[in-house]
Amino acid sequence: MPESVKMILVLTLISGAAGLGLSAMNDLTKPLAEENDRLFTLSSINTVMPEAQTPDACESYEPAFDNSPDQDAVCVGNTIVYRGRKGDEITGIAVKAIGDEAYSGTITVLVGLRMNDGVLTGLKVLKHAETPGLGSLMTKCEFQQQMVGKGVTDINWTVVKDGGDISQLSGATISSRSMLSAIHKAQAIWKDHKDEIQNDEALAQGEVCDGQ
Amino acid sequence: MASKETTLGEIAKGLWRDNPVLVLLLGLCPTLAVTNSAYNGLGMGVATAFVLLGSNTLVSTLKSIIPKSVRIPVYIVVIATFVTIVDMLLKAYMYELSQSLGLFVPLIVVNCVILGRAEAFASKNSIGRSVLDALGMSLGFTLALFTLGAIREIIGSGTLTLFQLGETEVKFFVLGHNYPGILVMILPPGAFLTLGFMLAGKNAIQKRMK
Repeated sequence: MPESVKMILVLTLISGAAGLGLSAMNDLTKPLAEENDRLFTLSSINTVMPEAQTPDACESYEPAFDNSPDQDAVCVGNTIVYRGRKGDEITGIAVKAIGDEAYSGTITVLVGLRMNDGVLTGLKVLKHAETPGLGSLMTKCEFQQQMVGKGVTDINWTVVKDGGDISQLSGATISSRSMLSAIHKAQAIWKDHKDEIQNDEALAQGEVCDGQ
Repeated sequence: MASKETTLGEIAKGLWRDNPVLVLLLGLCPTLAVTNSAYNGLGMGVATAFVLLGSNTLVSTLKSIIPKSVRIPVYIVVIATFVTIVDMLLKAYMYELSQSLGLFVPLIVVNCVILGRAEAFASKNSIGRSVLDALGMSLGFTLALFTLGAIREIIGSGTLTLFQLGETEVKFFVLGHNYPGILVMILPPGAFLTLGFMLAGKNAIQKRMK
């Protein structure tokens, strides 16, 4: 066999075998990985929709819903909104909001809002690349405490540096602003699209919002 | 490199004399990036070990049928396959670890320790010796990453995390619960500092042994 044919043959065979092996492996692990993703989403939704009148960010509560909000999501614009229900009534929403450009890329925050009065029920940072020990402190409940449990008009939702009521993280004002911008987006969705959220049909299984 | 080594010597070679991190200084990107905790270092080490064992074994098995001119593409395909398998397994069974290692798992493909061992060792030696070489190298790599991660975590956050899966966690508050932490050790400069001291320490010990 000439060298050139052997070359092509060997590389093709090995790549083919690798592809076969990987697809078998994928079939095996994909359901497990998807289940992990689902459980993670569900537990995040749990944290931001607690059953409490004035929740404390550092405490844990029972969830304020009895459905599976991860299966009951709607798209508002490009943003995914999970709906928590008690019976048929929507008790709260969890908005997967993307904040403005932070110190290092954008951050994604799951913002929980109570349906009837818009009180912020919880925050969970899903994705960020902020500096460990500075911007990353926004994932801590001590920082979130000053926002969780507050209504849309209760406080001025900007950092103290910009004349608001939220004490920014020292050395991480940009990260704090980005987090607040995500909260603003969620609050705007609650204010302007309440009816849509109530009426919109849930996304079909596996369907996603644009840009998510 | 002497080709006649005892079984133990082959393993000890990777662990000490030719340690991939401390002597060959290969694969420093994951070494420096993920070692902000002992558990992350351990996880990265084990993931790399799996890939190295797999690729060394397969490359050594296939060495007689791989034409010289396409050997590098073949090695890369073999390595990439094992890396993808590791990535899938982590996502399925160790979700938290796969989250914290993130992009650095797929990046094992370009870890020069693995391609280096395939080209320099597995393609020239028997399967048995290649497995031993992979064992030694990955033990050395894992141990170096674990030590680096442990030092950085203890000085940086005062804790030592050995295991973490869901709610289960093996974590020691080595320096007490009130330790304020030294941020720079968790950040990339801490990796360079610690690695520098580890290299110096290894050289000092080696000099004394002579």
